[in-house]
Amino acid sequence: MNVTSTGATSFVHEQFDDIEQQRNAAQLGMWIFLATEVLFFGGLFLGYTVYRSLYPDTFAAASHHTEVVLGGTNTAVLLFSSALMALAVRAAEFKNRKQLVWLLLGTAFLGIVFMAIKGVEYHKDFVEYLVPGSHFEWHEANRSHAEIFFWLYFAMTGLHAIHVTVGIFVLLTLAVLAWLGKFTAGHHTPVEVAGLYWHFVDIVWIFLFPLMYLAGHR
Amino acid sequence: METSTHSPKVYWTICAALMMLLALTWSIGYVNLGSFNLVVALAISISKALLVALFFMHIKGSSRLLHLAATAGIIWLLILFSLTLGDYFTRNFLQPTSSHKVPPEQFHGAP
Repeated sequence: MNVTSTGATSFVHEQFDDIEQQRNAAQLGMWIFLATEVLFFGGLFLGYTVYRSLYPDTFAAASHHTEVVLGGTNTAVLLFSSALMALAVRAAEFKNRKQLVWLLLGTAFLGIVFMAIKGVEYHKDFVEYLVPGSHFEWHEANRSHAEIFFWLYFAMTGLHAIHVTVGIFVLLTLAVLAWLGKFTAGHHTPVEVAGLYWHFVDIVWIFLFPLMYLAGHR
Repeated sequence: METSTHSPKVYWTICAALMMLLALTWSIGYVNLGSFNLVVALAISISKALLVALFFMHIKGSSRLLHLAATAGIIWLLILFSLTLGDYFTRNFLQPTSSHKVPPEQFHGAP
Protein backbone atom coordinates (compact mmCIF):
# COMPACT_ATOMS: atom_id res chain seq x y z
CA MET A 1 0.00 0.00 0.00
CA ASN A 2 1.55 3.28 -1.09
CA VAL A 3 0.69 6.83 -0.20
CA THR A 4 0.25 8.90 -3.36
CA SER A 5 1.28 12.54 -3.77
CA THR A 6 -2.25 13.61 -2.90
CA GLY A 7 -1.98 11.78 0.39
CA ALA A 8 -4.59 9.15 -0.51
CA THR A 9 -3.63 5.52 0.04
CA SER A 10 -3.40 3.31 -3.01
CA PHE A 11 -3.12 -0.44 -3.34
CA VAL A 12 -1.18 -0.13 -6.59
CA HIS A 13 2.53 -0.84 -6.28
CA GLU A 14 4.76 1.59 -8.12
CA GLN A 15 5.71 -0.77 -10.95
CA PHE A 16 2.08 -1.07 -12.10
CA ASP A 17 -0.04 1.43 -14.02
CA ASP A 18 -3.26 0.60 -12.26
CA ILE A 19 -4.96 -1.92 -9.96
CA GLU A 20 -6.24 -3.97 -12.92
CA GLN A 21 -2.74 -4.46 -14.34
CA GLN A 22 -1.47 -5.43 -10.89
CA ARG A 23 -4.29 -7.95 -10.49
CA ASN A 24 -3.62 -9.47 -13.93
CA ALA A 25 0.09 -9.79 -13.12
CA ALA A 26 -0.66 -11.56 -9.83
CA GLN A 27 -3.05 -13.99 -11.50
CA LEU A 28 -0.61 -14.73 -14.32
CA GLY A 29 2.14 -15.32 -11.75
CA MET A 30 -0.02 -17.79 -9.84
CA TRP A 31 -1.04 -19.67 -12.99
CA ILE A 32 2.63 -19.99 -14.02
CA PHE A 33 3.44 -21.26 -10.52
CA LEU A 34 0.60 -23.77 -10.85
CA ALA A 35 2.03 -24.93 -14.19
CA THR A 36 5.31 -25.72 -12.40
CA GLU A 37 3.27 -27.51 -9.71
CA VAL A 38 1.59 -29.62 -12.41
CA LEU A 39 5.06 -30.79 -13.45
CA PHE A 40 6.19 -31.23 -9.82
CA PHE A 41 3.34 -33.66 -9.18
CA GLY A 42 3.57 -34.84 -12.80
CA GLY A 43 6.87 -36.63 -12.16
CA LEU A 44 5.25 -38.74 -9.44
CA PHE A 45 2.13 -39.39 -11.55
CA LEU A 46 4.45 -40.51 -14.34
CA GLY A 47 6.30 -42.89 -12.01
CA TYR A 48 2.93 -44.26 -10.89
CA THR A 49 1.84 -44.74 -14.53
CA VAL A 50 5.01 -46.60 -15.48
CA TYR A 51 4.94 -48.97 -12.48
CA ARG A 52 1.21 -49.56 -12.64
CA SER A 53 1.56 -50.54 -16.31
CA LEU A 54 4.38 -52.91 -15.35
CA TYR A 55 2.64 -54.48 -12.31
CA PRO A 56 -1.11 -53.92 -12.81
CA ASP A 57 -2.24 -56.91 -10.71
CA THR A 58 -0.02 -56.13 -7.71
CA PHE A 59 -1.05 -52.47 -7.83
CA ALA A 60 -4.72 -53.53 -7.77
CA ALA A 61 -4.05 -55.90 -4.85
CA ALA A 62 -2.09 -53.25 -2.93
CA SER A 63 -4.80 -50.66 -3.59
CA HIS A 64 -7.28 -52.92 -1.73
CA HIS A 65 -5.26 -52.31 1.44
CA THR A 66 -5.89 -48.56 1.35
CA GLU A 67 -8.78 -47.06 3.34
CA VAL A 68 -11.28 -46.22 0.60
CA VAL A 69 -13.95 -44.87 2.98
CA LEU A 70 -11.50 -42.41 4.53
CA GLY A 71 -10.06 -41.47 1.13
CA GLY A 72 -13.52 -40.99 -0.40
CA THR A 73 -14.71 -38.92 2.56
CA ASN A 74 -11.61 -36.77 2.21
CA THR A 75 -12.42 -36.19 -1.47
CA ALA A 76 -15.86 -34.88 -0.49
CA VAL A 77 -14.29 -32.70 2.24
CA LEU A 78 -11.89 -31.10 -0.26
CA LEU A 79 -14.55 -30.61 -2.95
CA PHE A 80 -16.80 -28.91 -0.40
CA SER A 81 -13.92 -26.72 0.82
CA SER A 82 -13.29 -25.64 -2.78
CA ALA A 83 -16.90 -24.48 -3.07
CA LEU A 84 -16.48 -22.44 0.14
CA MET A 85 -13.25 -20.96 -1.23
CA ALA A 86 -14.99 -19.88 -4.45
CA LEU A 87 -17.73 -18.25 -2.33
CA ALA A 88 -15.01 -16.51 -0.26
CA VAL A 89 -13.58 -14.89 -3.40
CA ARG A 90 -17.08 -13.73 -4.26
CA ALA A 91 -17.61 -12.33 -0.75
CA ALA A 92 -14.32 -10.41 -1.09
CA GLU A 93 -15.38 -9.02 -4.44
CA PHE A 94 -18.65 -7.81 -2.92
CA LYS A 95 -16.75 -6.35 0.08
CA ASN A 96 -18.66 -8.49 2.56
CA ARG A 97 -16.09 -8.61 5.35
CA LYS A 98 -17.94 -10.86 7.83
CA GLN A 99 -18.90 -13.41 5.21
CA LEU A 100 -15.36 -13.40 3.83
CA VAL A 101 -13.82 -14.11 7.24
CA TRP A 102 -16.24 -16.97 7.95
CA LEU A 103 -15.81 -18.53 4.52
CA LEU A 104 -12.00 -18.39 4.80
CA LEU A 105 -12.18 -19.95 8.27
CA GLY A 106 -14.62 -22.58 6.97
CA THR A 107 -12.30 -23.48 4.10
CA ALA A 108 -9.31 -23.70 6.46
CA PHE A 109 -11.37 -25.81 8.91
CA LEU A 110 -12.22 -28.33 6.17
CA GLY A 111 -8.52 -28.41 5.30
CA ILE A 112 -7.79 -29.31 8.93
CA VAL A 113 -10.52 -32.00 8.84
CA PHE A 114 -8.84 -33.41 5.73
CA MET A 115 -5.47 -33.54 7.49
CA ALA A 116 -7.01 -35.17 10.58
CA ILE A 117 -8.62 -37.92 8.49
CA LYS A 118 -5.33 -38.35 6.61
CA GLY A 119 -3.57 -38.72 9.95
CA VAL A 120 -5.98 -41.47 11.06
CA GLU A 121 -5.41 -43.17 7.73
CA TYR A 122 -1.61 -42.97 7.94
CA HIS A 123 -1.82 -44.42 11.44
CA LYS A 124 -3.88 -47.37 10.16
CA ASP A 125 -1.36 -47.94 7.35
CA PHE A 126 1.48 -47.75 9.87
CA VAL A 127 0.06 -50.32 12.30
CA GLU A 128 -0.72 -52.64 9.36
CA TYR A 129 2.99 -52.54 8.40
CA LEU A 130 2.25 -50.96 5.03
CA VAL A 131 5.01 -48.35 5.28
CA PRO A 132 7.82 -49.26 2.83
CA GLY A 133 11.10 -50.20 4.44
CA SER A 134 12.44 -52.97 6.64
CA HIS A 135 9.12 -53.33 8.53
CA PHE A 136 6.99 -53.61 5.39
CA GLU A 137 4.82 -56.73 5.57
CA TRP A 138 3.17 -58.26 2.54
CA HIS A 139 1.60 -61.72 2.55
CA GLU A 140 0.54 -61.81 -1.10
CA ALA A 141 2.61 -62.19 -4.27
CA ASN A 142 5.28 -59.72 -5.45
CA ARG A 143 6.25 -58.05 -2.21
CA SER A 144 8.69 -55.58 -3.81
CA HIS A 145 6.11 -54.45 -6.37
CA ALA A 146 3.56 -53.84 -3.61
CA GLU A 147 6.23 -51.87 -1.80
CA ILE A 148 6.61 -49.64 -4.87
CA PHE A 149 2.87 -48.97 -4.77
CA PHE A 150 3.03 -47.94 -1.13
CA TRP A 151 6.14 -45.87 -1.72
CA LEU A 152 4.20 -43.95 -4.38
CA TYR A 153 1.12 -43.81 -2.13
CA PHE A 154 3.04 -42.16 0.70
CA ALA A 155 5.09 -39.90 -1.58
CA MET A 156 2.10 -38.63 -3.55
CA THR A 157 -0.43 -38.27 -0.72
CA GLY A 158 2.39 -36.91 1.47
CA LEU A 159 3.40 -34.24 -1.03
CA HIS A 160 -0.28 -33.39 -1.40
CA ALA A 161 -0.69 -33.21 2.39
CA ILE A 162 2.23 -30.74 2.58
CA HIS A 163 0.40 -28.58 0.04
CA VAL A 164 -2.82 -28.75 2.07
CA THR A 165 -0.88 -27.76 5.21
CA VAL A 166 0.64 -24.74 3.45
CA GLY A 167 -2.85 -23.85 2.18
CA ILE A 168 -4.31 -23.99 5.70
CA PHE A 169 -1.71 -21.51 6.99
CA VAL A 170 -2.28 -19.23 4.00
CA LEU A 171 -6.06 -19.31 4.57
CA LEU A 172 -5.75 -18.61 8.31
CA THR A 173 -3.42 -15.67 7.60
CA LEU A 174 -5.88 -14.35 5.03
CA ALA A 175 -8.74 -14.75 7.53
CA VAL A 176 -6.91 -12.54 10.04
CA LEU A 177 -6.12 -9.94 7.37
CA ALA A 178 -9.71 -10.08 6.12
CA TRP A 179 -10.96 -9.54 9.68
CA LEU A 180 -8.74 -6.43 9.79
CA GLY A 181 -10.53 -5.27 6.64
CA LYS A 182 -7.55 -5.56 4.29
CA PHE A 183 -9.49 -7.14 1.41
CA THR A 184 -12.73 -5.19 1.56
CA ALA A 185 -11.28 -1.72 1.09
CA GLY A 186 -10.51 -1.79 -2.60
CA HIS A 187 -8.53 -4.84 -3.63
CA HIS A 188 -8.80 -8.54 -2.89
CA THR A 189 -6.21 -10.08 -5.22
CA PRO A 190 -4.52 -12.12 -2.42
CA VAL A 191 -7.82 -13.92 -1.75
CA GLU A 192 -8.28 -14.66 -5.46
CA VAL A 193 -4.73 -15.94 -5.90
CA ALA A 194 -4.86 -18.10 -2.74
CA GLY A 195 -8.14 -19.48 -4.07
CA LEU A 196 -6.41 -20.59 -7.28
CA TYR A 197 -3.82 -22.46 -5.21
CA TRP A 198 -6.47 -24.14 -3.04
CA HIS A 199 -8.48 -25.28 -6.08
CA PHE A 200 -5.31 -26.68 -7.66
CA VAL A 201 -4.60 -28.77 -4.56
CA ASP A 202 -8.19 -30.01 -4.82
CA ILE A 203 -7.61 -31.03 -8.47
CA VAL A 204 -4.52 -33.04 -7.52
CA TRP A 205 -6.59 -35.02 -5.00
CA ILE A 206 -9.35 -35.54 -7.61
CA PHE A 207 -6.78 -37.59 -9.56
CA LEU A 208 -5.13 -39.21 -6.52
CA PHE A 209 -8.40 -40.67 -5.19
CA PRO A 210 -9.22 -43.15 -8.01
CA LEU A 211 -5.54 -43.93 -8.69
CA MET A 212 -4.67 -44.77 -5.08
CA TYR A 213 -7.89 -46.18 -3.64
CA LEU A 214 -9.64 -47.70 -6.67
CA ALA A 215 -6.79 -49.16 -8.77
CA GLY A 216 -8.29 -52.16 -10.52
CA HIS A 217 -11.67 -52.72 -8.89
CA ARG A 218 -12.38 -53.47 -5.28
CA MET B 1 -20.96 -3.65 -10.86
CA GLU B 2 -18.83 -5.75 -13.16
CA THR B 3 -18.01 -9.01 -11.45
CA SER B 4 -15.53 -11.75 -12.25
CA THR B 5 -17.20 -14.28 -9.94
CA HIS B 6 -20.41 -16.25 -10.42
CA SER B 7 -23.55 -16.25 -8.31
CA PRO B 8 -23.59 -18.63 -5.30
CA LYS B 9 -26.14 -20.73 -7.16
CA VAL B 10 -23.54 -21.52 -9.85
CA TYR B 11 -20.97 -22.56 -7.23
CA TRP B 12 -23.41 -24.82 -5.39
CA THR B 13 -24.52 -26.40 -8.69
CA ILE B 14 -20.91 -27.15 -9.59
CA CYS B 15 -20.30 -28.48 -6.07
CA ALA B 16 -23.32 -30.81 -6.40
CA ALA B 17 -22.09 -32.00 -9.81
CA LEU B 18 -18.63 -32.70 -8.33
CA MET B 19 -20.18 -34.71 -5.49
CA MET B 20 -22.25 -36.74 -7.94
CA LEU B 21 -19.16 -37.47 -10.04
CA LEU B 22 -17.36 -38.54 -6.85
CA ALA B 23 -20.23 -40.92 -6.01
CA LEU B 24 -20.06 -42.25 -9.58
CA THR B 25 -16.30 -42.88 -9.57
CA TRP B 26 -16.54 -44.45 -6.09
CA SER B 27 -19.34 -46.86 -7.04
CA ILE B 28 -17.77 -47.81 -10.37
CA GLY B 29 -14.70 -48.74 -8.35
CA TYR B 30 -16.65 -51.78 -7.14
CA VAL B 31 -17.63 -52.94 -10.64
CA ASN B 32 -15.26 -55.05 -12.69
CA LEU B 33 -14.87 -53.38 -16.08
CA GLY B 34 -11.43 -54.85 -16.70
CA SER B 35 -9.03 -52.25 -18.03
CA PHE B 36 -11.95 -49.87 -18.57
CA ASN B 37 -12.03 -49.19 -14.82
CA LEU B 38 -8.99 -46.97 -15.32
CA VAL B 39 -10.39 -45.32 -18.45
CA VAL B 40 -13.70 -44.47 -16.73
CA ALA B 41 -11.94 -43.28 -13.55
CA LEU B 42 -9.65 -40.97 -15.52
CA ALA B 43 -12.52 -39.64 -17.66
CA ILE B 44 -14.47 -38.76 -14.50
CA SER B 45 -11.38 -37.20 -12.87
CA ILE B 46 -10.71 -35.06 -15.94
CA SER B 47 -14.36 -33.91 -15.98
CA LYS B 48 -14.14 -32.97 -12.30
CA ALA B 49 -10.85 -31.11 -12.84
CA LEU B 50 -12.39 -29.22 -15.76
CA LEU B 51 -15.39 -28.18 -13.67
CA VAL B 52 -13.09 -26.90 -10.92
CA ALA B 53 -10.80 -25.07 -13.36
CA LEU B 54 -13.57 -23.56 -15.49
CA PHE B 55 -15.89 -22.35 -12.71
CA PHE B 56 -14.06 -22.27 -9.36
CA MET B 57 -10.81 -21.01 -10.89
CA HIS B 58 -12.71 -18.81 -13.36
CA ILE B 59 -10.86 -19.96 -16.46
CA LYS B 60 -14.21 -19.46 -18.15
CA GLY B 61 -14.36 -15.73 -18.74
CA SER B 62 -10.71 -14.98 -17.96
CA SER B 63 -8.12 -13.53 -20.34
CA ARG B 64 -6.44 -15.40 -23.20
CA LEU B 65 -3.12 -14.93 -21.41
CA LEU B 66 -4.35 -16.97 -18.42
CA HIS B 67 -5.75 -19.64 -20.75
CA LEU B 68 -2.29 -19.88 -22.29
CA ALA B 69 -0.53 -20.14 -18.91
CA ALA B 70 -2.98 -22.82 -17.73
CA THR B 71 -2.67 -24.82 -20.96
CA ALA B 72 1.13 -24.58 -20.90
CA GLY B 73 1.29 -26.72 -17.75
CA ILE B 74 -0.90 -29.41 -19.35
CA ILE B 75 1.10 -29.38 -22.60
CA TRP B 76 4.42 -29.82 -20.77
CA LEU B 77 2.85 -32.64 -18.74
CA LEU B 78 1.80 -34.33 -21.99
CA ILE B 79 5.36 -33.99 -23.34
CA LEU B 80 6.73 -35.53 -20.12
CA PHE B 81 4.31 -38.46 -20.37
CA SER B 82 4.51 -39.07 -24.13
CA LEU B 83 8.31 -39.15 -24.28
CA THR B 84 8.69 -41.43 -21.24
CA LEU B 85 5.83 -43.78 -22.10
CA GLY B 86 6.96 -43.72 -25.74
CA ASP B 87 10.10 -45.36 -24.42
CA TYR B 88 8.54 -47.84 -21.97
CA PHE B 89 5.69 -48.98 -24.23
CA THR B 90 7.81 -49.52 -27.34
CA ARG B 91 10.67 -51.51 -25.82
CA ASN B 92 9.27 -54.75 -27.23
CA PHE B 93 8.78 -53.36 -30.73
CA LEU B 94 12.26 -54.39 -31.80
CA GLN B 95 12.20 -58.17 -31.67
CA PRO B 96 15.48 -59.71 -30.55
CA THR B 97 17.23 -62.07 -32.93
CA SER B 98 16.46 -65.76 -32.47
CA SER B 99 19.69 -66.41 -30.58
CA HIS B 100 18.82 -63.78 -27.97
CA LYS B 101 15.23 -64.61 -27.09
CA VAL B 102 14.04 -62.32 -24.31
CA PRO B 103 11.44 -63.88 -22.02
CA PRO B 104 8.07 -62.13 -22.35
CA GLU B 105 8.10 -60.79 -18.79
CA GLN B 106 11.14 -58.67 -19.70
CA PHE B 107 9.54 -57.15 -22.80
CA HIS B 108 8.28 -54.16 -20.89
CA GLY B 109 11.73 -53.46 -19.59
CA ALA B 110 10.96 -54.43 -16.01
CA PRO B 111 13.98 -53.67 -13.85
